[in-house]
Amino acid sequence: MLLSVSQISKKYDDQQVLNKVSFEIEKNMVMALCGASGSGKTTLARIISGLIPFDAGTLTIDGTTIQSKDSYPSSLYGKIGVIFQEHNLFPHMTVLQNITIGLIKVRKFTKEDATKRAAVELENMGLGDKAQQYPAFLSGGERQRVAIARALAMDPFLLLLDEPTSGLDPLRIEDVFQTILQLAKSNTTMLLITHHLELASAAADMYSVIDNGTLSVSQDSSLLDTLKGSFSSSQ
Amino acid sequence: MNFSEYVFSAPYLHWLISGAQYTIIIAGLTSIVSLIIGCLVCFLHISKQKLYHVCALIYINIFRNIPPLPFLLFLVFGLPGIYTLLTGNIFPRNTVFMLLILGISLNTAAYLAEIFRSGLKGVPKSTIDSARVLGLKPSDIRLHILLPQALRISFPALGTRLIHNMKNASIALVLPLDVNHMEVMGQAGRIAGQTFTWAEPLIFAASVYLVLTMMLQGVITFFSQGMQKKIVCQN
Repeated sequence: MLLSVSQISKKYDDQQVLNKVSFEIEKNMVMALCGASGSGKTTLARIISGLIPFDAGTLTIDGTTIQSKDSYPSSLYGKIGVIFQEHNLFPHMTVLQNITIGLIKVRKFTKEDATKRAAVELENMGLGDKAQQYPAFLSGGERQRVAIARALAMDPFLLLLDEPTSGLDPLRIEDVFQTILQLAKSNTTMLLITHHLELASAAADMYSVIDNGTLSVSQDSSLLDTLKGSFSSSQ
Repeated sequence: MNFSEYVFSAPYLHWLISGAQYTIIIAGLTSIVSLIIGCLVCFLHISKQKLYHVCALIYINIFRNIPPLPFLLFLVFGLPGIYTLLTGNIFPRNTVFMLLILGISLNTAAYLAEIFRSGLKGVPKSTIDSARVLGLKPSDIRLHILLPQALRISFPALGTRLIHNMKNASIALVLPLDVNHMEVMGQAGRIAGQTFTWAEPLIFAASVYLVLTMMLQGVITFFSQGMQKKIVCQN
């Protein structure tokens, strides 16, 4: 089991954001996690990626078990590729530098090897000609694909995408949509948090819906039907 | 007006050129020292150690709220007396120039510490999160992600303060500096003392400050625009 989330709970002040959430992701599996705004999706993503602690439960990532009282093992950072809603590229670095910094500082690649690896990832994302651009000069879709390339370059065992199409116009949503579908076809293990029900249905093997901090999981995409009407399928 | 007699003739022109050189030296030295002290005070201010934070707060409030002129007068005329009273020794001679540099630097550093702090606070937390999930060490995050962005954010305010710092060099006029260490205002006063003519040497001294500050402004604008255009969103 690559990722096991067991009975995870999280409270902000008096508000219970996650209530005994459990699910598992196996290698080469894509799990879609859907839910209304404020339902706890991003909180769960931030817990799994080690950005915030949780109050109760157990998180097991690639054989490493983390209890609520434990601090997140630093060895796990960099092994889960996280793509945030807002891409979060480093604005003062070029596209190439955004990708190579992790390879050089964390994976200890030489600059030449890191550049070669980054070039391959950018080429795969159709952004080979954007290496020397700054993020400010890219479209929203291109920035999101650079963020995906940056995460993939680190060779993560799990890709965690937190609403990757949020805030993009329909043309750019299509760009990112196709990229994620290709990743799913190439057996990339992913936890796909999205409002985009069409993308969730097309890319995932397993479906989950979170509502008021409680998670339901199914192998049947009809689970997502419960959300139809809650928000637009093209978001 | 007779510039040829009171400005562009020997030995006055030589005095004024020497004064212009010392204006640049004072501005340069105080900029360097205040940048170093300002950085240190900023790090103390954002420290989680309450003692460091309080010390920085006291420093900033004292030096930002006392005008530089009375503080410099205290350093040059008050401090030697206190030193002798406390130690029984005579205060070292020929320290006026050093005290001038120290006094102006301590004043400017209080402002710079706050400018740096606002720059650090202005860095989006999301980019720090991105760096953490990439696996960068805290020292790498500070050096490669936090500081470059903070510098870009604080650069315009930093430039304005350094221009103000350069103009503060003119306060040296009231200090008993030896003639070889006088800045251009001091040299203008020296010419006035010999010729009983203030207008021409003062106009020259003011022009020197005008040209120097405009040059510094040009350099700051050049770098500031270069940095900003990379990170300003085009979409």
